Amino acid sequence: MINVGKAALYLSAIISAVLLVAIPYVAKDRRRTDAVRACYWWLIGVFGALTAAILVLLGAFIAKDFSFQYVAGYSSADMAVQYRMAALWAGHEGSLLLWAWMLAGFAAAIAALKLKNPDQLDTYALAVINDVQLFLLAILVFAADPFVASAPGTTAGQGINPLLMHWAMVIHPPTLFLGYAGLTIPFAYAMATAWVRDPSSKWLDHSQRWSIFAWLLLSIGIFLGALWAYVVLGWGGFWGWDPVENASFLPWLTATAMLHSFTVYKRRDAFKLWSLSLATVSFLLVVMATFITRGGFIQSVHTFAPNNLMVWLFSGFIILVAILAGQLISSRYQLFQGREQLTSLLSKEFMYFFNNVVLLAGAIILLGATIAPVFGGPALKPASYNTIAIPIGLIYLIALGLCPVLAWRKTDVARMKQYLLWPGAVTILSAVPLFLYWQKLRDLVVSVDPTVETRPLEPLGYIGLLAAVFTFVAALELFYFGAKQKAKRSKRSWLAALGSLFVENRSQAGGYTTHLGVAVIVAGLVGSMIFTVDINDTITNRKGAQLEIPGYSLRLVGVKTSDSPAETVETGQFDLVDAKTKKVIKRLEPSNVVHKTGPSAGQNSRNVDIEYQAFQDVFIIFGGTNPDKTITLEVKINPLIMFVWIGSGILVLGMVIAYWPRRKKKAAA
Amino acid sequence: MNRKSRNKLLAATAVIIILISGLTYFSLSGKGSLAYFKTVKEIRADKSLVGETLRVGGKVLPGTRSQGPDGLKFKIGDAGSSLWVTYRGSQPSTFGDNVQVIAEGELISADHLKAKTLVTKCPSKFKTKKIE
Repeated sequence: MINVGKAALYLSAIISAVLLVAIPYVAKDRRRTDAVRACYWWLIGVFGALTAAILVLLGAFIAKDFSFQYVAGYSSADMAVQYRMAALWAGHEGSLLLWAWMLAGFAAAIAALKLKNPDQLDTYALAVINDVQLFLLAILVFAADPFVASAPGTTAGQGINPLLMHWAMVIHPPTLFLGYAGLTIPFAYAMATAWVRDPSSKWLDHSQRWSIFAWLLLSIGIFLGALWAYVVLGWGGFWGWDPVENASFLPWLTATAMLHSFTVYKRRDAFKLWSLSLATVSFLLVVMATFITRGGFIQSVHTFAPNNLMVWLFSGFIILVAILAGQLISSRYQLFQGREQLTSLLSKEFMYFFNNVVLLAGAIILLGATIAPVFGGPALKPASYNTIAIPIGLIYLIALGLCPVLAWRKTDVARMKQYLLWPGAVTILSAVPLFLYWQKLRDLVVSVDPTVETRPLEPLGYIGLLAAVFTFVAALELFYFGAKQKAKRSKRSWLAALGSLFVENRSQAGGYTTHLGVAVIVAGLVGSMIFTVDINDTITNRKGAQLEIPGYSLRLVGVKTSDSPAETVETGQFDLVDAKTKKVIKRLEPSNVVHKTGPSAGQNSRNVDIEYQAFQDVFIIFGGTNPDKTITLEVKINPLIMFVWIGSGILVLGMVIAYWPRRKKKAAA
Repeated sequence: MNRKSRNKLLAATAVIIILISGLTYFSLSGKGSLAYFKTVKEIRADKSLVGETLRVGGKVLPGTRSQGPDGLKFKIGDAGSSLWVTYRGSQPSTFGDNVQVIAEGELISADHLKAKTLVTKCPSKFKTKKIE
């Protein structure tokens, strides 16, 4: 079987290599539609061949065929089938194969959709996608071949890190990779439209849905990773500014700026160079992210071998693309000048511009901080990342709250005041209760550790809470005014108009919903990044022993131990007791697993337990029993963290509302 | 773009960029907000690093772990050199013998790092053997 997989992979690479020359050759002549169609079919063929290759590898995982070195390296016979299948993307060979397969899938989908009526723009865009695809295939063939045979006689696999066996880890990588692959499409269309010298927004009409889809998956992917880190990894947090996390966040920042620029491009005929450049930068960051996560670029800092083929291929590709794309965009500088002038700082145009500058600046700082250690520079602590990110985030949030009430070109100040009245009033009214709440959060943190690192950020926490309220009310008001206007125009009741906003004006309703989501997320970030209470302590291993934590006490019920040849599991049973009412809120059962076999022998893993509440989570890590008859415990109180999850849900919902395919189109098709 | 609107835009951009760089500079100027990544070997070779905030990666050497008055104590090693690490606080998930950890904190003597943070390498990437 291994040779079938290899053959399929090589076949796809050969077709792609031929298309490298063939597509640009046939695209030049608009009359050769048959030849163009043939190329489209061959692109679908690349996808077919790669599908065969990936199925062979997947089949080998399912069939426990350890004659594949890759299968033996990342799975073992005792793993459940869904985790064996997910092991497909546990290493860099499989991940890159998945990436290439998804990209080929996008190319094939575009080719199939345009087969009837091939357009020169699409053909050039597909040529670019094929070039990227060829690059990935070349890496797979020369530097990361997943189809390598094991040493003869290999009958068992090494297995996978137990922490990765979690549902979020099954779907997180493919979601992220789908987002990565998808961001190739706006880049390809940007290059194509620059190449054919067409500054109209046609390329956006052809690519925007793909771009939004990619952005959405990237967001969901990041979200799932954060969720997994929180629930499984035992960091007690969801974001640690790890290079791998930063790598996925970087293209998200620039892609967010890119999508906003696209809006201005389409609606105001401006921000054209911004759009082309941001599409390019986002793509480069995606390649960079793959390189960081799967090329071992940053993790293996000290064993970084400069003559390594993978490093050369990736850096060479990034530099080459940057030069070529930069050259192309700068040669079209005049042609892609926007038509609209910036007339006022109190305009939507300026806010979009502001949005781009802030997101791009954020991306540059983050990129610098992420890769500095590779070149001997200093590394930032997570706390330092927070001190940079939180103020920038707040500036950004204020712009976000303000932007929808501004008009294009120039804002009518009287109308703006009317819009700002309610959000302003509610924010002022909530200033005192929020202050009291803020004080409570701060006192809790300080009562446990007066020297905690986040102290300088505390005042910002208060501003953040106020800004979140402001943005939230402003977004609600947008619904109110939007529906009111619509009711007036169509002579419907306000409620009916509000409902129809979600049907007829989806992009508007979806946009407002995303803003609501962001406001909720910000409240969550403020709470969980600035005001986390962290307690490390030991208690005696005796029934009834208690650990006092602010607002609760944790009472030990007992420790259960279960032993098997593979692992020893100690489960601590605790009653979480409300400090005031003395009532038991919940039985929490965190555990500590000591592995005895496999690659993780001699290591522990922790299964945390969490009491989720609306306004705070109580997070418990059980460190196991010690020889001196004590138990090591870490307890964290994470305020408002639920808001992060709920807000993310609202954000994604907003995007789905905005870009749900219209019914009209379905009827026409 | 006419000159007036260009100037306005440039001025506004300058304000944003100065603000952001100012904030970044400000937040990095605090003591201990930056940590230099050093190998165990580099730390052992350079006495002048004592007192600095450092970040160091290495493998937990089997049989060196203990819980004591200073909290968790263990030795990490890398390419033949080793360094004692003490850490107060609970161990991260997947801690144990031969685990790759990154410890960050103050180097209080030439062979002892008092860690403020201790993370195990995020397990989403492993098998760096091939690349290394």
